[in-house]
Amino acid sequence: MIHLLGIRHHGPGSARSVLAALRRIQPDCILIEGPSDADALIAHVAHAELVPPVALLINTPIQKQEKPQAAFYPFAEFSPEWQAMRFAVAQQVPVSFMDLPCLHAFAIETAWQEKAAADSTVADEQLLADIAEDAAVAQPEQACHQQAGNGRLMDPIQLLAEQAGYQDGERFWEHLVEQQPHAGDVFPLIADAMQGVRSYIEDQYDEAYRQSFEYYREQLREASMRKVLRQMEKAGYQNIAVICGAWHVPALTDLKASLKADTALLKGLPKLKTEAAWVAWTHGRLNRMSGYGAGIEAAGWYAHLWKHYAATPEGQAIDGQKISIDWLSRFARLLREQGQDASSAQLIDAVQLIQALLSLRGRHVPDLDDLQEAIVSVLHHGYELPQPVLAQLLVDERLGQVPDSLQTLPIQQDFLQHCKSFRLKLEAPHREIELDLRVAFDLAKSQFLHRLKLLGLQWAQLDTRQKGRGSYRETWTLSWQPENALYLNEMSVWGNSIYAATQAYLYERQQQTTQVAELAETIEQILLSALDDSLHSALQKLDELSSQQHDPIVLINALSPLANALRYGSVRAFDPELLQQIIRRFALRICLALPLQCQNLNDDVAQERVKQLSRFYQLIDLLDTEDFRLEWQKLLLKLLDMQGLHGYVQGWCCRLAHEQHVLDDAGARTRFAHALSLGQLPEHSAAWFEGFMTGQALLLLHDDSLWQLVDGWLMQLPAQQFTELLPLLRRTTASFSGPERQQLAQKSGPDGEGAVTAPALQEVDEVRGNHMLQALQHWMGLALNGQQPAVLTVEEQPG
Amino acid sequence: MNDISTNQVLRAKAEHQYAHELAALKAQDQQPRPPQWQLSPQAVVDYLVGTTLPDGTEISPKYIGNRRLMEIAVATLATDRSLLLLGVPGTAKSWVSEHLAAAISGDSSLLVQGTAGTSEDSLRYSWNYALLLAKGPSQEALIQSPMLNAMQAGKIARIEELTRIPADVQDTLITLLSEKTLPVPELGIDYQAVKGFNVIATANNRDKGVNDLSSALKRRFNVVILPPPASVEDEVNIVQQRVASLGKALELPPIQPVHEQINRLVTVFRELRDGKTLDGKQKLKTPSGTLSTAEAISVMSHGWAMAAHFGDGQLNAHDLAAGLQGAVLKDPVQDQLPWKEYLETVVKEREGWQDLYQACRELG
Repeated sequence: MIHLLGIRHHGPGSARSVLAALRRIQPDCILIEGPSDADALIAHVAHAELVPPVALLINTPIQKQEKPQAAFYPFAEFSPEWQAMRFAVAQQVPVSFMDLPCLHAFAIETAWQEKAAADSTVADEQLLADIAEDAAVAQPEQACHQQAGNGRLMDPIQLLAEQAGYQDGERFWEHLVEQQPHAGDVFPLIADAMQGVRSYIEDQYDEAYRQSFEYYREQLREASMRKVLRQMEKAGYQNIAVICGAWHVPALTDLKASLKADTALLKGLPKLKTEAAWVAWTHGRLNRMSGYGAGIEAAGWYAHLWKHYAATPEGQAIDGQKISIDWLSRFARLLREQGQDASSAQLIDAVQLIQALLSLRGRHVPDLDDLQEAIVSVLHHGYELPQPVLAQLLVDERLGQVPDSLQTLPIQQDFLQHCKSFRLKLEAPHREIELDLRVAFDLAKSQFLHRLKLLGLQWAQLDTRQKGRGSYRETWTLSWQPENALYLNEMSVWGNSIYAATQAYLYERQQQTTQVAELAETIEQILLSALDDSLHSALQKLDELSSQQHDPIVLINALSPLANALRYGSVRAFDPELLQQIIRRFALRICLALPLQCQNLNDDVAQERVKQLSRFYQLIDLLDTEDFRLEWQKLLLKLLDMQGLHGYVQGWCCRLAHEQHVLDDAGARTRFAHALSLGQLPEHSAAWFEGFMTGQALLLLHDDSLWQLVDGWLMQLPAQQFTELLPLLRRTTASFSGPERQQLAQKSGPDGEGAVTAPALQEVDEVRGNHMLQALQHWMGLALNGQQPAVLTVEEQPG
Repeated sequence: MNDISTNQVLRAKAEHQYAHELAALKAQDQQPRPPQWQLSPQAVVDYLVGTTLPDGTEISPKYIGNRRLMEIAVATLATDRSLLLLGVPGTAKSWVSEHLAAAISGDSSLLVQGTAGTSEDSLRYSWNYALLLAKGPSQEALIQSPMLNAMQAGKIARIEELTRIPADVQDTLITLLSEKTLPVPELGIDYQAVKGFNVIATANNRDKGVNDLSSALKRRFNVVILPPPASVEDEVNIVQQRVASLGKALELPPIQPVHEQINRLVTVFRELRDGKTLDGKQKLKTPSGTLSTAEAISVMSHGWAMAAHFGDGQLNAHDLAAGLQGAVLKDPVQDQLPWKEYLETVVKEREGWQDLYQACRELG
């Protein structure tokens, strides 16, 4: 007798039903949908230190050149497969996996990729992309109703749900199967329903799909499952329980008819060497990595359900109210921790509302949406729940545990492999290494170290001190600590190789960051580490964040690494178009936002602003596009015409506009005169002139049109106004260096002999000078040649 | 109640206008009903979101949107908490509240209109002073508020614009809603609410600043926020219908069909409201205005009036731009930036929108 238990992966209701069924059936053999090359690892589930969420990791051995292929099979405590494994090991029932072994699956995948690459016609490009994506994400095709392959696979549950009048397949399955774990033996019913749906869906398959990789793989997998079943029957087991995705149940009912075809299909499959290991997993990863999407969005909720399911003795109805109350009070506690109100009275009201809603909707156990809606309505006054609280509860982040004895992680192997090939030793004492980035080997080494840095490994520190030997040198300090190995282990949840892990880790971090500057810095580092695949998503996120950023200064700072990247092309394979677009938007946003930012400034901020403006201008200059130049000129004119702009900024703008011929001589002269005319506040005029002239002595010396401008304006000043303005002008020219001032004086003299002050300096009145010297000596407490009395007499003289 | 027939009044009450639907639902309703309810909760939800009954009676949808929201609203009224409907103008709050009262109590007339001048009397009771002076305090001299009427009849009372009622008057509601009694100390009696009594209040959640609810009062209400329409198509349809009916009522000269312009207007409103482009590719800054459907309707009818009276009878980008800019730039300083950015990065780039871009640019 074969019992086919069709489940939904990671469904707590399924887990409970499976356990109940197993206890009833008392099987002599249990088969689970999972790669049969991991059979040996099942025994470990009884290990006290193996705590879910954990994942089975199957990968090809790490080699130097190749990108390893890998697949994860995650299990949470509430996964039916996990419970079945525990049951089997505890009851000492023989148990094994029945799915296509990964050693074949990987080899076939590679073969198909090569084949697709070989005849890469336009038609096959999509397929190629699909497969490449599969390989890149290293994602096991685990969900029975996955919507892979451009929607060619219809969601069977969705179909059933639509028949039953539900809009949402997840909710349908949740209500009918997951939440009715007390409803007796559901499995024959599931099998019946699936039979109907599956034959309908298979009728819809078109020829293209039948030729596709997904279809072929599914055929192989089911053939392999049947093969294992037959073997077990042959081995004499009488009472076999099969735990597999509901989708596969119809394919496993008839073992005889398909015998021949299966043997032919499974004959001579290519093989690769694989390794299998348990790795620690997290609820968060469960959410993200699973093929379900919505179904496992809330690992925390499923864990919560499982807690209650597991606590309810078999045969008893699930107490929906208890589930609501427990969930609500957990929620309330989190809200209180956040400093928000959540009184017990409100909880009572919320429970009442849930009960009323449930009776309106004709159910007994609340689903997540019911609870969420009640919480929003009662506890949160109709507003969206605070995302952090929600995420905390929904994800219920926890890290699984894997005993040390079972750890051999590919990421460690990959790391060691790299260290070996880069001749880097893992030693505790600080060690400096010098890299010459013009050498390919050193460049690769630098990129590797940068990646580790991005991953957060505290091993290599980049020496940021400039040593004045050009930008092609890098100095790193290495120091290996034992906790680094531990850290690397933790990072294994992100990927199998340093490259993949860094990428995944960065992606996660990018999604959470809200700081434009931080992200721009990350992008710079991504460029340094040559993580080209991460760049795209980072840029997109940057674009998104920047639109919410109101401070153009932050944008300017973020723009500079981008502009550098675009101008100097330090990046390789990425789409410059996206970068260009983003830069364009950045520039536009900055241009639009800057005028607002330049209003009502005090002196310090005004100088700061000018520095930022000139930085922005340098970037515009660097990008060297007509578009940006026009935008920039528009901005300049706008700033010039702005009322209430700080004089310093305005003066600077005016000079720049003149320099760039946005403003002609006459225009500049008018503005010059206007800014320094009598009607203006002296402070404004001073600031204006300062902004206009600061640091511009050389320009003034050599740019005749500027000279003419200033000179012309000075010459036509009425005497009284000139006197008034003189101190202001003096303040600005004080910023010029001595020689500059001298040259300016020479230039302004009638015919070059303007050094009027020089002779005056030579006529020193020695008597008065001596007096001065003596007075100074006295003040400074210096006794010179014992002439104390003389000094005193000097001091006594009046005047 | 009075002799004016339903046809003559400008706008008939819900329970009269949809009397046949309510009757049909009542006839077919098999589910248990809470005390004093005319329909079961399921039937009330059906009445609101529309359905076809087994006997073929068509129940028209009163609320186009998420059914689950209506379920929460109805379930709330079946518990001892009251219902507060929040939303920006034009999200059908009062409409939903009227129909809820009509479906549950068969009577949507027990209404208190909230204004800054609403006094405690209109929530509790007042006196017929002639009688009061002549005979002294008696039940005869007491004038009952709609609230008190609803309590005695076990019906649904409605309060419109709750947040416009002064805070001290709002406080009257606190004990009324939690104790469900209304004492009359002058007579030494109290009125106790009959089962089935409950309150639906509506408020505009942009008006928070007027008289925000105290947390004690908030706690007496379950809140349902009615969101703006979920899809462009829904919103376009709503705008189109309402503009058409408004135009008819105002007797505007007919113009060419405006579907294309409505589509653009709704797109602009939705994108700015949601802070992202419809395809989700670009984030946008949001201006301070509400940009509700109701505003889209008024921009559209304004454009219509412009086109019909001053234009060539065809609603073009220029007619649209004037109203559009006015609706978006609610705060002349703060809203400039989002609007300019939107014009430059979205409108300018979009195919076929050049005329709108030019028109908006010309306005400054």
